[in-house]
Amino acid sequence: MPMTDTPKPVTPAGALQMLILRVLQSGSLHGYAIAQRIFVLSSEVLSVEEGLLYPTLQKMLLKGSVTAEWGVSETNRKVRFYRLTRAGRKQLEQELSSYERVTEAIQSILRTA
Amino acid sequence: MLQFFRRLYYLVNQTRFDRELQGEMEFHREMAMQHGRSNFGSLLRLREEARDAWGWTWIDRLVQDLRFGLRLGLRNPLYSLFVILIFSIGIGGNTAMFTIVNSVLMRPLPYLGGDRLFVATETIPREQLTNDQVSYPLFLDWQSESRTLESLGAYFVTSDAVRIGKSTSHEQIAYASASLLSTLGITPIVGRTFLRDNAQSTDAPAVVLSEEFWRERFHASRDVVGKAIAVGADVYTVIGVLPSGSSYVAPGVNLWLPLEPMASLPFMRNRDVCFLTVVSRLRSGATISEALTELSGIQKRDQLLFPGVDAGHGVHMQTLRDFIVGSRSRSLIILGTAMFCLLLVVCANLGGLMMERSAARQSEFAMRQALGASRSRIVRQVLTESLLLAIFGGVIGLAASRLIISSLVEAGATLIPADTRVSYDSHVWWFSAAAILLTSIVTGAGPARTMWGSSNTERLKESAAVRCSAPGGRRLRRSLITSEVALTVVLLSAASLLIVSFTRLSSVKPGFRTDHLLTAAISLPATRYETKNSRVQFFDGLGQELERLPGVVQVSAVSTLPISGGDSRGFVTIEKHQFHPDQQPSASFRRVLPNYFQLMGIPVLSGREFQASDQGADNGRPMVVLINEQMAKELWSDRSPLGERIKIGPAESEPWLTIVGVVGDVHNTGLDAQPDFSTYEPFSQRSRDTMTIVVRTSLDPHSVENSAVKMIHRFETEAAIFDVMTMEERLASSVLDWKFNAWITGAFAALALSLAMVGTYASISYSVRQRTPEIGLRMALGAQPRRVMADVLREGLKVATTGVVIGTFAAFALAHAIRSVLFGVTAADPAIFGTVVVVVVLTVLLASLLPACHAAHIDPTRALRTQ
Repeated sequence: MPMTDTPKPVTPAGALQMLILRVLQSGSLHGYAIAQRIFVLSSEVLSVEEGLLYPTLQKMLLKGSVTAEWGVSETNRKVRFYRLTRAGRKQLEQELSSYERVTEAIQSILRTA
Repeated sequence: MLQFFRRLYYLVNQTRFDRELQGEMEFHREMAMQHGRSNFGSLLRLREEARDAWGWTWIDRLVQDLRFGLRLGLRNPLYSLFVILIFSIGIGGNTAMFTIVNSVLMRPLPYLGGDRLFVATETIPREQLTNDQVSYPLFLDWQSESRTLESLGAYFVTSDAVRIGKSTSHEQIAYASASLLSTLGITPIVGRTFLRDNAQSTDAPAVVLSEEFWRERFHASRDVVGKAIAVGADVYTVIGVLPSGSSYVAPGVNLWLPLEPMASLPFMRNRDVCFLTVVSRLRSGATISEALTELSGIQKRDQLLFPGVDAGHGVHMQTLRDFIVGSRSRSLIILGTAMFCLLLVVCANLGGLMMERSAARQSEFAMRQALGASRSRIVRQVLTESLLLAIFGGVIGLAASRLIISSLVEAGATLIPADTRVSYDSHVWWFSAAAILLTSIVTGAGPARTMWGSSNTERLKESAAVRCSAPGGRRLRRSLITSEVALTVVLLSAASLLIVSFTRLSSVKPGFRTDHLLTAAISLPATRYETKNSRVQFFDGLGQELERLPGVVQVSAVSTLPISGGDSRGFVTIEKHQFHPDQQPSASFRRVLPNYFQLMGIPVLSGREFQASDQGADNGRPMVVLINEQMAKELWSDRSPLGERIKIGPAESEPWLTIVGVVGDVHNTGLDAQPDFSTYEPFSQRSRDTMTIVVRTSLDPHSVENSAVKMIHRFETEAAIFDVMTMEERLASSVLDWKFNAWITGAFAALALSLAMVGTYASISYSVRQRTPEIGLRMALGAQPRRVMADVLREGLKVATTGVVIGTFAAFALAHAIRSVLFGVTAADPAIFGTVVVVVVLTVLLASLLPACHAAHIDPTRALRTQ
């Protein structure tokens, strides 16, 4: 099906897992809160599509970097909260360090070239 | 690993996970709406995408497709049954054929390292023989001198009366060199095999049994070792039992005896007596051409050392499998190819049918696509449907293949060598799985392709009635029918050639009367019938007793029946005549009892038949011989051979025989072989202890069978009687392979022809249905029904012509390839090919006749109203 929606700033797919891991570092969150947190923290630049968010969360569940548990939302609804696992923390560290290396590299090219 | 378990956990708790996901996403949506967003996509689709992450959606889809396919199939049971039936014919037949080919040609030999085993034979270029056997002295030279061969073994097969305790039976026996069983890599299951060291020892000679014989006669008892068995006149001690399958080199052999104790006998030392089959094991690192050079070198040197021996002979080496399978591989390949052609016809046919069906579902597919199904999803569904039908057909076909195989084996098809077990193994399972997959893909490809080709909106726009099928689809459908017709032509031509060959062969006059003739081989206990006189007396007395039975007219006997295989041959020497060493002819020889020629209806053309007084040296008369007409004509041309003296066999040891008569030609070696030189000696002159008696009856020979066998048993309780058959049965079994090839390909061809008919019918009637509005319009504008009909017929004819032209070319090529199995007909017989073409064209026309009539009766108003 052709997509007719106008493009808007969307999180780069590869970075989404890293962002999710990062916002979960300070505590467990439900899906909407994750999207919201990323949106707010990025000063409303990065908006996470739910079409991307939930498949990514499923992949992360499968990989074992997050687990889901039941909790109650601020609006008093029973909802799944995602929590970082030990494997998830490790993954976050790795991704952050490699991300920093890559951005530094890009920066140095941009500065000197 | 952990991931896999998580995945599995998800699969088990799928419904719960899905519910949770749904709740979560609904919550997300509510929250988002509170924050003023509303452009959500389809929740269902988003959820499906999320579920995709777990990697199990293919199962859901498969289940959906299967369920849909089943429902669709059940809604149209007749069509489904028909398709399944055609699938099962194609897959079942191919599985059966493959199982046989696999068992005979592909499965590893029942010997350890069987791929390094080769059979060395002598070639006689001037007689176009490549498979002549080897003399014992030459074998010994090869064995002691060869460096490229790890070991060599030799054996020959014969049959003899075997006595265990009181029961006597006639068994196939192989005399084997001590090295044979180890060369073959056989490990005995009980006891041991022959030792090389005690080969020359004077101990009681040893015998090794086959597993089958051991189970049957010794009830698989392990203390069989040391038991005594009498074979002919000698007593042997059992030393071991070979595993089942060991007799692959010598089908039917139950007892293995050592060859070496016979080494001192004259025929074993004669370089001219070739009777051994030599099996060799190639040394690792050596090549077969090195071995061949080496063996030829030894043979060439021997020919120089012993002039006159083996002049002009060469050496031929082939794999053990090729040696045993022989010309069967050709028949198997022909039948396998025919079967594969049939499978292609099945695919083409079903492909056409399915395309026609899917055309009726175009709007369904278009609708689904519009609702969001991807193309690949629909193609997958089409393929699942054909796979489903193919699997059903395949399962039925597998069951049918068992039936086909067992009926082939029962029909006594010599196509399968004796002692080769035809059984299913993993190769067969893979093959049938591949056949199922391949046929379903090939048949599903047609509809899938048309799906891919045309754009969706176009199809949605077209109403079912106005649509003309996409040009790509029509071309594909046409080419399916064309190839079907072409393959039918190929199969039909091959079958016609083989059937005509068989009927021509069956009508060959064998040279003697075959009706009302009962035959049975008799083997006398050698110890009690050592002298010629005792044997002559036995057969005289037996003949008189038998002739007293009701229904018996006359009795005689011959050493080797015609058309039963196993002709004994020897080189011909003529007194006062020198042949060029390369041109010495050979002739078969037989020993016969009085009345043989009269009883068999073989005419005595000149000279006389044998008389009671022809007893050779016994009563001081010259030894006599009868020759056949062809031999008389070719060796003496217009002179009379009567009174000339000849020798048959080794010139230094054989006596001179005086020609006293000339008899008619007989197809001794088989109906498909031209009669060649044959000679006959009277039994009273030289006898033997195994003869085949022939009984001319006035009644049906089978009705005499029981009383005759009983009579022989009463006459001599220790005689072994075997191969009791009427001559007509022997004749029939000699052409069984021909009959077999003819009828199998005939059946294939008939199936292919009927499939082509159905396929053409389906295709033409489909195109008529597609063109209904167009035809209606033409008729409304005044077209004659006759013209419309002719149009449709022309379409059928066009398809047929291309197919017939391609098919005829392919059939010519195939006929050329199989010309060696044809008899009495040339590979390019114009009458046969003409008939095939006419039959196929008529069939196609007939198949298009019904749709043509439909087209001619289209009601224009109704056809146009649907638009």
